[in-house]
Amino acid sequence: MAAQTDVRGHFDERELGRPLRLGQAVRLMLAGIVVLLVSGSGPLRDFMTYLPLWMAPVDVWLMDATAAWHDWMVAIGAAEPYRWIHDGVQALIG
Amino acid sequence: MLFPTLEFLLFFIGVFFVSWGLRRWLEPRKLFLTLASYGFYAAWDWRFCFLLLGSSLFNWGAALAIERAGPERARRWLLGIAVAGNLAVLGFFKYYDFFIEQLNDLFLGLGLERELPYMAVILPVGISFFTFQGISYVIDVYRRDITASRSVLDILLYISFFPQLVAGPIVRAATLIPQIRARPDPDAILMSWGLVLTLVGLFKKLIVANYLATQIVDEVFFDPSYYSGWDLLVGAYAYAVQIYCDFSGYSDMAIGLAAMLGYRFDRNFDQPYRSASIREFWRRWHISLSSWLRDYLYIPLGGSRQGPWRTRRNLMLTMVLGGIWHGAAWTFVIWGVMHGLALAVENMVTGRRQLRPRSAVLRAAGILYAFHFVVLTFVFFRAESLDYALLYLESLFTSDLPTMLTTPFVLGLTAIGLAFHFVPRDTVERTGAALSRLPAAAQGVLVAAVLVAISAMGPEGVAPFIYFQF
Repeated sequence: MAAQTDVRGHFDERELGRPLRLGQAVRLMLAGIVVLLVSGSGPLRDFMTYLPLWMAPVDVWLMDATAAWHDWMVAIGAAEPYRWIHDGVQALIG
Repeated sequence: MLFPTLEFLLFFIGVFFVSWGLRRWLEPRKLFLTLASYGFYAAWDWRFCFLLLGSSLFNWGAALAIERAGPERARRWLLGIAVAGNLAVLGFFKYYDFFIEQLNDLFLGLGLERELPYMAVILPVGISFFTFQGISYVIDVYRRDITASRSVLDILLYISFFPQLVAGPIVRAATLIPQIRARPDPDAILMSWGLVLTLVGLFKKLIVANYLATQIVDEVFFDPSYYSGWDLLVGAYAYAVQIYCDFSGYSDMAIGLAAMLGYRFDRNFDQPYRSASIREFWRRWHISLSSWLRDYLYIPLGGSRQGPWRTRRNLMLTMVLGGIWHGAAWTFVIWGVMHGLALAVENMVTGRRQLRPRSAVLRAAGILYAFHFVVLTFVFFRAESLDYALLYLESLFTSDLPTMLTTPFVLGLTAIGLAFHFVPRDTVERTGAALSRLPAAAQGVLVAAVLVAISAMGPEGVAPFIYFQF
């Protein structure tokens, strides 16, 4: 049965999948964070270079740490898929 | 702080863990979510946090006063003051300079050597949304649909809750406040559905809307006289897809993020471009605004209860005011007038019955009519001015320049944006349900991999959401 919606667009709770317990939700988030840290290390490094000024006392350390992390991920090939997809789309656009 | 940024991802991860960590302590959890929401808003301009706070306190006090007032006449007066107060704030920030400009033009036309001063008022992001939430709250209390909240924290969080603060959906008090008052259930978090909705919203915004904006829409609407008729035609279709993906993408993310924090919002878009009439379109497009306008404007004006001509007048008034809600410009007025006229004409043809063509051919014809009408009205909605909108439509038929911007990439993105309307309407729910059957860690890995892929596919930087300006 399709999820029903009336004029105000109520979702049918029964159609929204199995809810998770908090422990499962936390495991899900942690697993996702690990994947993001590995394959998305490039954006994270870029983000660290734009930290606001009030973080100046720690930003040198954070920048160095994330840059080293990213270099390591590149060295083992974990960050490559991100670049392949990005370059592929740019080639498609021309 | 925009949703599709690493900054917001880090913010949300922090909010997720802390808010669920506070699940046993309801008041501290509400306080934390309120402070997080104000922090989110302060990322744009911290000064407007005081406006948000003032608006929330005003509506909290007004609702209590309405509830405690005895005679009906006093209640009505208080409601009038509350609604007028909200509209005055909205009017000042959104329309002051526009009205001064119109008055100065009028004075000039009458030959008066007088110019009223402009104030260059900065528009606080999301003001139309949180003002409408405030108005709906006091009206619902007046109508006794809900009771006024004694807790100021409930109202502060209701008005400022960050997933829907800056671009909706306009969540009704009756929907959100009972959820704010209840202890969140840590055994029933709709994570899988929320994550799928968020990813779909990110794809719509980062890939479809952003690329269409940069590859064709921004160019053709900047100066239509430089482009071929074909580019302008595809640009108009592309804008209809861009605004749908931009706005419904934001709504999807807002609904998904709220679900992960334990709150349910209603659907805001329901495949609007498969509508077979403009009446049906308004039941599927920006549902939270169209139902707001229906309940707090159209029905109080008399709705369809006072004969056919008053019904059409009410439809027209509602749509014109709906157009003006989007911004202080004649282009939005024209957009509202066109929709009001279409609704009035459909009402003349079909009366109170909803147009529901039985044959597939008639249904297809209805969809083509409604879609092309909407695309035409969006030319006025998007154009910088009325002159540019007319130039766009003129160049569409008269330009003999070569086609430059219509590429397979643009056509493909436009087709993808339209395809969202013709897949089964519960596709997202089915995907969320399928994802929810995987082990939790596997869900996390899969979602993060898709997130990385979407991020890698998107253009450099993120354009602000279109509806932030409203």
